[in-house]
Parts: sequence; structure tokens; C-alpha cells
Amino acid sequence: MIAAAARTRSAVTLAAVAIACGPVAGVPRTYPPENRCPEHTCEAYQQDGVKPACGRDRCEAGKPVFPYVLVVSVPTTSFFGAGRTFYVPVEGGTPRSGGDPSTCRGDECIPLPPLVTVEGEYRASYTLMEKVGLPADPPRETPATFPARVVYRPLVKVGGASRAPSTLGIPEDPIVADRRVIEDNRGPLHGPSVVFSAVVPRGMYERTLSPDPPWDVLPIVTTSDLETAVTDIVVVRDEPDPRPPLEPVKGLRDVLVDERTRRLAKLARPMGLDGFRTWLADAKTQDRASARRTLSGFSADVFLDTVQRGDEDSRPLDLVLAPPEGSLAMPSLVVRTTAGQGMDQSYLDVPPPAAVTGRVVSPSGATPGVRATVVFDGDQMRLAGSLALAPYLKYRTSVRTDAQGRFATILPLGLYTVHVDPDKEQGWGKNVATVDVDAARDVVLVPSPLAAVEGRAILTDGRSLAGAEVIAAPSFADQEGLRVREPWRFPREVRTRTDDVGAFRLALDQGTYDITVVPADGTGLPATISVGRKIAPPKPGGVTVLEPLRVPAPQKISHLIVDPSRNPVTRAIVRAFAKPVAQASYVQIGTAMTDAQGKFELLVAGQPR
Amino acid sequence: MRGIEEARQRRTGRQGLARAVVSLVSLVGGCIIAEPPQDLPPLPAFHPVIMRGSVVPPANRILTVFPQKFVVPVELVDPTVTFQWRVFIDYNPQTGDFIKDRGVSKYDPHSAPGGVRVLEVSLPAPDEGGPVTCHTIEFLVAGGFRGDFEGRQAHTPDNAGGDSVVWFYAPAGDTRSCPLYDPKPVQPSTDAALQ
Repeated sequence: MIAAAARTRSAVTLAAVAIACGPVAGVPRTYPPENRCPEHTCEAYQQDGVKPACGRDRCEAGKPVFPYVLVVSVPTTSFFGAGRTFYVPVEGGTPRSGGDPSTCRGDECIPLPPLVTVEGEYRASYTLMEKVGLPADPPRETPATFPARVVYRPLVKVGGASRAPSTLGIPEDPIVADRRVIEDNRGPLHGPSVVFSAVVPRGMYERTLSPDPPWDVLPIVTTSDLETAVTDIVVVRDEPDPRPPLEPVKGLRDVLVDERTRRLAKLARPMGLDGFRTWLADAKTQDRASARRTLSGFSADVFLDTVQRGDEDSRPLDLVLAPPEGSLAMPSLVVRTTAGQGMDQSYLDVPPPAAVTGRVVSPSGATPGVRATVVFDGDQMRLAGSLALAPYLKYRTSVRTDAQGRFATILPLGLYTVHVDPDKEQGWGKNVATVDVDAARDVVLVPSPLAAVEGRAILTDGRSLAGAEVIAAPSFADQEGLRVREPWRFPREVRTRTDDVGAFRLALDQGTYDITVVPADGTGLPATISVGRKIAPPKPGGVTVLEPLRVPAPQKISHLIVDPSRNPVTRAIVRAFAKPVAQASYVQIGTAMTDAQGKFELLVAGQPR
Repeated sequence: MRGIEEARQRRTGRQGLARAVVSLVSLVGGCIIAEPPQDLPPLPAFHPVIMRGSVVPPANRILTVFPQKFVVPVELVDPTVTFQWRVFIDYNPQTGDFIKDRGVSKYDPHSAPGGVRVLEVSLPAPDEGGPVTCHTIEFLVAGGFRGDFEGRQAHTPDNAGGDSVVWFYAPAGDTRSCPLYDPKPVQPSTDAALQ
């Protein structure tokens, strides 16, 4: 009996040891799903186009057949092309970089084009200088040289046409030329010359030459579809050269300002025009398109010279009459001109500006107020002695609120659209209000609640996509110019992560978003973008539920990037852009970095929709 | 007989006690054997490092076009760390104002090795019509930031330090209001020289 008790004790002890030192029961942990084969069958992906097949331990749906553009940003530490951006359109899987195809062969290799140094000068004839009021003493036969800001905008050839990347929604990297003064005794244009020069990748460019102030009374010269040239001396004339040089000057390019491109503006202001400035601006981009003139007196007749912007040009122009630099609370006159009409304008007298103070408070009324940026955008102003609102007079300013949400500014009297842009941390959304400033005002502005948005990310084989980043970015489709000129019109970018079942929740401003799902690195799944998702104004307690975001098996883009000397281009950022179905603007579909061999691999989700 | 029985019982009790002690020792000793070997020495404190040469747009010239996105590759000594990033436009050191975005970059166990994480951030363009003609965009990365209080977003990395990259944006090409650094020594005044 005693022996039995001892055996029992031993057995219990052994069991206790076994339990104490046994393996700890694991807690199940959720990992993001992976695109691995043959663990997961590739046939399970239900998607259009090429059916996924197992290749190199993951399911791939071939290579993209839709056109896309690779934007290669070479690091500033690179031996070749430091800090330069190269645009590589890819159509039918074949990259067209403009590089020498003998550098490396095959569609896998992208040879970058060489860099070339471009030089030039901006000159103007003395007769033109006299006409625009520049001193031309003593008059000379050779055109005078002027310092100018010279910008090269690269052009990308897509669909058979050369376009500036920004007009396609692709990031643009313009190159601004350096300048120096040299003594040139080589030819008929002898004497001191202001020479501009830039080092640019060989290709097509749009070049804009804008004379520096005070010589900005001379016209801006824009040359489109400019093949990279080594030397290019632009001479702006108001009449053909009466005595062309006997020996041809290399790269000489005469640009004529004639009656078709010269616009006469007749301007008046009862209170005087001293210090006012006028010019013509492109109506779409608001870029200056003509010479800029500074006025004096009560009325002025001035020529606003343009180049290649005659009446036959389809791009409309706005006549701008702006108050003197540094003036406070004075509106600008902006009038659309049509076929030379609208060039006679009078800037009518406006009453003194008014002090506008106010607060931005939360809709709940909680204190303190809301930190925000407040933009006052007025396009109808009141005239002196009249309650009527005059169109064409515009004024815009922005102010910041303090920690209590207070702000103060001075505004010309008029009707304003007020954009309230709360800081992100404040937890409120953007809002728009209308404020009629007819006297000194104290206004209370209220931001909008954010819209609650829910969604789910799933793979096309039905698995939930856990651990993915979801980025809701404002959609700039066809509105690239407004993105920079009027940024307050767009909603703000917000990001979050999907949970274990692929669900996510966002708090968004109202507006149109491109929503991107970025699966975790190494999962073998592509970033997937869904464009043009409209988010309606928030309703109390309401939740907007998005359609599921479906991530397919990837299509692979992989290339090797080499310089003209066949050296790999390492640590370059490569971004791919493609045009969504039924949309004109491109969107980004992937990002990668080249490795030590100059190779990169991008997994994309097909043509965006 | 009774003495013999008592002696056996005492011996059995001693044996039981001895077995219990051995069992206890084996219980403790068995678990000690399962203890892992000594940890490797910890990595020294470090901060994330921005690969300045590869940032997009390049930070070595003044921007005249506000980019759609800022791309910032960040190199890490330990690829498993979590770090924070913040972006300021025209940071006001007096009020701590003008943070535009912030986020956290987390380690992903599925991430490819290499210790480089590429951050992409799209920011709202600053108002071109405002009084400032040259804007300063600062992108900061650090293990953590300190000094957040009263709604202000601190600009100061924690003790391990941080890294930053700065762009200057002058849409009109007017760089007159861009920050200047003038290393010239202060010259004595003419009056002083006369004395």
C-alpha cells in the first residue's frame, strides 16, 4: 500500500513536470494573405484578362499590355544624370526611353538617353525696345541681349502626340537654366552676351523664355516641340531684320511680334494707375503669356506683346490689371478677352476696405476654437457709392487662426466664398461658406463633420486582405492646374490599415478620391487603385459604405536601367503611371527603387478603373 | 516487531521526502534547462536615416512646381523598428504650427530584407496668393517625437535623434524670401574704428 502511494506520488510528480515544461499553447495570429503557389491555387483568382499562372512561387497574370509611363528619378548622388528625371513611355510592353538601343538589347533593358548641354540667348531688336519704352541709346544694328528666366518642360510622347507630363497628371520636373555673362567676339553678335545654359536629357521640350524685371516689358517666348538643340539664339523683332547678317549665325532664330500677336490695352482708373501692372494670362493655367507693363497716370494705352498667341490661337487669354506690388486689400481686374475684344477696361473706384474678424468654432460649440486656415476668395466687389456688385474684380487672401480659433484680416468690400480648412489633428472636415462683406464684420465659421466611410479589401480569390495600407487621396483628374492654384478646393489625404478581415474605416472630407490599397511588402500582391470615388456630405450618424476593393493577382513590370555607358543606375526611384479606363488623366500604379544592379520590379493590378 | 515496523515507516518517510525534494529540484531544474541561451548584445540607439540622394523631387534645388508627391526613402539599421514621420510647411517655431501630415511606419514581417522603406506623401500645395513667396517643406523622421502638448505637434525628435530633408518651393521663381545663411563676420562699425 505504501509502495502504491509512492508510485502514485511519482506519477503525479512526473505529470506535473511534463505539464510545467511542456510547450505553451500558441495563440493564433493573423498574417496578411500571401500570393504563394502552389500553396494557393492560381485558378482561384477570378479576374479579367490573362489568367494567373504559377511562376517563381507566386501567381502572376503576365505583363501589362496597356500603355503606361515610367518616371525614373535618378538620385543626386548618381554619377550619371544626377537629380534628373527621365520619362519612359511603354506601349505594348516595349519601353521607348530615347536612349541608344545598342546600349542594351531587349525589352527588359531601358537605356537612358545621354545628357546634352543646351545654350542660348534672349535678344531683342532696338526698334522693338523703343516701342516698349526701353532705352535704346545709342541705337545699334545688332539686337541687345537680356537676362531671362528659361524653363525647359519635358514632353512625353504618348498616343502619337507630345504632351507636357503635368497635362497628363504625371509629375513634372522642369529644368531651370543657369545664366552667365560672356564676352562674345566670335560673330556678328559680338559684345557682352547673357547666355543661358542647362544640362538636360536628350528629348523633346517646351521652352519658355521670360525676361527678368524690369525687362519683362519684352514678350515671353515659348517654343513647343523643341528638339534638344545645342545653341539657340532667340531674337525678338517687331519687323523682319532689314539687314540680315551676311554669314549665317548658327542657331539664330528670329521671332516676330506683329500686329496679329500684339494686343493694345486701353486702361483707365479715376484714382490713378500709378504702379498698377497689366499683362495677358492664359485663361486656363493663369500663366503669364505676354509682356508685363507698369502703368502711370489716369489712363494708359499699352501694347501687350505676345508670341504665337494671335486671334487664331484657340487658347483664351485673360487681361489682368493688378494693383501695385505690396498694396493691401485692393482687388485685381481680370477680364476674359475674345478675339481682341475686352481690351478696353476701366478700373472703377472701390470703397475703403473693411476689417473682418471672426472665429472658427467646432459644430459642437466646444471651446477653444479650431485651428484652421481660412481662405477668402472673392470674385465680385462693391464699387464706391453703389451697393451693386461688380464682376471682374477679384481678391483672394488667406489667414490662420490662433489657438482659440480667432482670426483678423482686412478685405475689400464684396462677396466671398470662404473655405475653412481645419488642421488635420482637429478632427473636423473642410467647409465652404458665403460671406457678404459690406462693412466691418465679425463672422463665425464652422467646419464640417467628417464623413464616416467603411470598406473592405479582398483578393479576387475571395480571401480577406488584412494588414494592407489604404490611402484615400484627392482625385486631381483633369484638374492638375487647380491642384496648385486652388488647393483648398480638394479634400485631404487620409490613410489607415485594414483589420484582420480586410475591413477599414476612414474619416473623410466630402469630395472625390482615388483610393489605393497597398498590400504589405513581400506578400506578392499589387497595389490597387480605384479612381473617382465620390464621398457625399456627411449625415449625422450616417456611414458611407464603399464597394469592396478587389486586389487581383499581379502583373509584373521588371526592367534593368542603364546609363549610356552601360552602367547600372542604382537607387533610382521608379514610378509607374497609367491612364484609368474612361479617364484622361494618368494615376500612379506603383513605386519601386532600383537595386545595386539597376534592376527593379513592380507588381501592378492591371489598368486602373 | 513493532520497532522494526516503526523503523521501516521512518525509512519510507525519509525516502518519500527525498523523492519529493528530488522531484522539486527536477521540476525547477527541468525548466531552467529550457531557458534560452544568453541574448545577443542589443543594438546601440540609432535613428532612421533619410537617403537624401534618392528623395523625389531632388532637394538640391529650389522647386518651382509643387510636386504631386514627396518620395522619401528611409534607411534603417534595424529593419524591424517602428518610426514616425512628420511634414511641416513653413514651420513656425514660436507656435509650433503648420504641421501638414504625419504618420507611423511599422515593421512588416513579410517585408523584403534591405532595411529601406520608401515613404510617399502627397501634401496640399501652399497658397500661392499668400504673403510668403518661398515656402519651406520639412520632412522629419525619428523613432519618436517629444514635446507634443496643447495640440501642438513637436518638431523635436526623441533622445535617439532623427533626420530631416528640406525643400524650398518658390512658385514664381522669386527666391528673395527664401531663408539665407550669411557667414560673413560682423564688421566693426566705422565709428568704433575712428575712436
